[in-house]
Amino acid sequence: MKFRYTFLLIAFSAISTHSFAQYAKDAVRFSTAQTGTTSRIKALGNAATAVGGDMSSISANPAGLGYFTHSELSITPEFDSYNNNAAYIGQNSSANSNTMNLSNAGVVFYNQLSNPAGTDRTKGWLSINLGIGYNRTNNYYEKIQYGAKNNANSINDYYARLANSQGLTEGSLQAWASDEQLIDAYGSGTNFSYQSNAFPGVQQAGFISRTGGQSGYDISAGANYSNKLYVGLGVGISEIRYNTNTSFNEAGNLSLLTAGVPTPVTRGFNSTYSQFQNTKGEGYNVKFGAMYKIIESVRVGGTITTPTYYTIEDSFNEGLSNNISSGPNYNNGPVEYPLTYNMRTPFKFAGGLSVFLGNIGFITGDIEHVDYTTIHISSNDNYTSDYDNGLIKANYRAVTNYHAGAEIKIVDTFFLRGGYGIQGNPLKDGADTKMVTGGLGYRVGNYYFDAAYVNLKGSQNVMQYDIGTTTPSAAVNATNNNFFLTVGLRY
Amino acid sequence: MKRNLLKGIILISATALSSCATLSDVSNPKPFGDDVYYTKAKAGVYDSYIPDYVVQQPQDVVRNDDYYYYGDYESRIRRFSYASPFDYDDDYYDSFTPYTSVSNQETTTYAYDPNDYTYDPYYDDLGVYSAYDFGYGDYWGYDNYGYGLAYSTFVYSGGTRATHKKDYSYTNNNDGPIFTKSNYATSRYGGSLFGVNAGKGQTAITSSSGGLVFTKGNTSNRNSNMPVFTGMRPGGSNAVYPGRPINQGSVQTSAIVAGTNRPIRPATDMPRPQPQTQQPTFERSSPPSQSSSSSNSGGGGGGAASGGGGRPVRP
Repeated sequence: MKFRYTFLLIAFSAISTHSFAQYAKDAVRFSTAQTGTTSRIKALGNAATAVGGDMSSISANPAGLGYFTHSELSITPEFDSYNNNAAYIGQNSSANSNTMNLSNAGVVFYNQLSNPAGTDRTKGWLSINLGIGYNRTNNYYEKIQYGAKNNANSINDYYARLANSQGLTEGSLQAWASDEQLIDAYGSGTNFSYQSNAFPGVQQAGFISRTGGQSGYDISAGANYSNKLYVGLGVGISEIRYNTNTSFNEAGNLSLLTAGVPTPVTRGFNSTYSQFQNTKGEGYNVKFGAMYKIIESVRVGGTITTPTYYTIEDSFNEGLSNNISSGPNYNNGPVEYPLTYNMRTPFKFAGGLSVFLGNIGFITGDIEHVDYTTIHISSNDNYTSDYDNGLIKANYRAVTNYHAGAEIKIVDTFFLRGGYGIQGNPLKDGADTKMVTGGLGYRVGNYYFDAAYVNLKGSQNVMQYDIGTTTPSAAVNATNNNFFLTVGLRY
Repeated sequence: MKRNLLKGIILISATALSSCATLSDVSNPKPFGDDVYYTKAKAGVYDSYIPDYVVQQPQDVVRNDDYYYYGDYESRIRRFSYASPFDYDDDYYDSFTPYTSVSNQETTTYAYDPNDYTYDPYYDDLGVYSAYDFGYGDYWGYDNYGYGLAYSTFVYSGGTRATHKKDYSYTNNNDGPIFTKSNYATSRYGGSLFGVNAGKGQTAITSSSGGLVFTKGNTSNRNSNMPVFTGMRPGGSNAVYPGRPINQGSVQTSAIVAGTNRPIRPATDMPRPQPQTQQPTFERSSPPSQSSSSSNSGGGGGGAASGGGGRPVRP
């Protein structure tokens, strides 16, 4: 089965335009990993900072591990239904898919500490619990297709723009375009510029296919002091796998010069500009957490997550082909541009509050601050990162994410949950992602079953080429309907 | 690899579940409750422990022997010859008091005499020694065998027996051995206790001269507050980057390009004299690529390889 990923909190919110070149976009894309949680927390809008006692504590707030009074394990598979609609120059296209995946798995080992005989057994350090968890923290799966007849411009204008600004350096994209008769020099003498050879009215079609995601492996410990103060520490290892395949096809008529013919001729053409990228990376971080019961029914919690330090291997390829009717078929590339670089994600600060309503339920919420401008790409001998680091600082921003949810016990073993979340878009002026969640829970004996539904809506603009403010773009609105089921056991 | 890790986690989880002795608790009529709510932890109780330093009978040692194997093959093989598997027949330790005053331990298989044992302050509460005891004996650093770990080749310098031997001097009188650290291990571990390998693995940090300057742009479009990329890239415009051709940064004065022989065409040939402006029929929710386009067209040195390597600038 094709291995695809389903948790799509960030696929929309991370990048809302495809306009930045080089590695800045990827750096932000790879910095938007979400907190991996169980169905219970997902149903609460993914607000986990001030809850505690749930397996989500392993990755969300290790201090919450201190709430455990028994060992526990759980697993959470996920079903994801994804669809989008892309509008491009008045034409609508859609794509959809259904996938299954493993969202979360973990185990907590309860480790009771001992007090001297005769002392209060509820005072002092009471337990240090260990948790090990796996989470899918980001999803890059995406499939976008769009197309329309463009009477205003052509991707050839982009090639011409590159030629005018950079010259026809051998092996460059614009040199390929010239070689393939998509652009020519117009003018006289030394006073000329490169322009598109395409007649107005070209049929354009774009296709983007992305796969991959981020996974997190966490080892955390949480301690309980007098059932009042809880502190925790976690170490995380993150993995990135990101693949994207992009092609832009354009067909129409070209004005061409042919050998021996003094006047230009008109020929049909069909060109395809292809890009594909394969990126892998590994990183690590550390998380500190604390929770405190102000009173028995009110908990506050906070976490500090250090930057994740990644080493990333990137391979980018591009190629250009053009078939001319009654003429030659051209094919240039693909040419690979490999690079290994280091990347540092931002610090993440989170704070939350939970209020328990007797024994009938609770309300919880948290806020999270992430400054994406602090993302940093490191240079090495072959790559100067100033350009990308400059783009990051210039085009991205700090965001605050909000999560809130409530749980009500319908009966003693049956729970009803709901939540809402806003995920800030790292891009300046980018649209935030809205998340509506709901879920049910049932406990029998020492088993528990939690189901969650997450509805995500996000948007982005896709621009396949860049000719300034007149660049046409495809507006992509996507919706995710994700279903999670957690099965857990206390022992 | 990831799939293997996933499978591993699942397997470990399943193993933990299946091997758990308390699985029968699943059918416990009284469930453990929900830790998200008001369950409260209680500490266990331990009796005050007063170490008496009386060594157990040898047979007790033998009984637990397998738990305390830590040495190399030699000590493993000889573990049945001594009260502790961690003892050494190293010449340096021949006269270790608890065993006997007989100098050659190898010929004194059962020379161990508990009565000879005296509590030696060097063997308890030694910080790292006791810390390593944790988990192998009781929790108080006074287990009868834990000090044996102090002899383990794993503790100091972490090297071979040969390395270990060189690291320490000793006294072997009635007070027992005293370990001191020498500098023999410098070449391997920099002379530090656990071997901080200074000098290795460090990468040179270089700083780029020049660099980029971002200034506020003054464009008239809707994204007028977007910064504009200006400045020089390190290495100058003639820098050579892997995978990318040298960017000459200038328009060729001839239209003979890429193996073709096409002349400059008259402007009247242009199928569309100027690219037409077409506004999208939808509202943008985010800005177009001002920074990118700036670097492409007005960047003054941006160019195809303005990132200084790796992939070229593309939308």
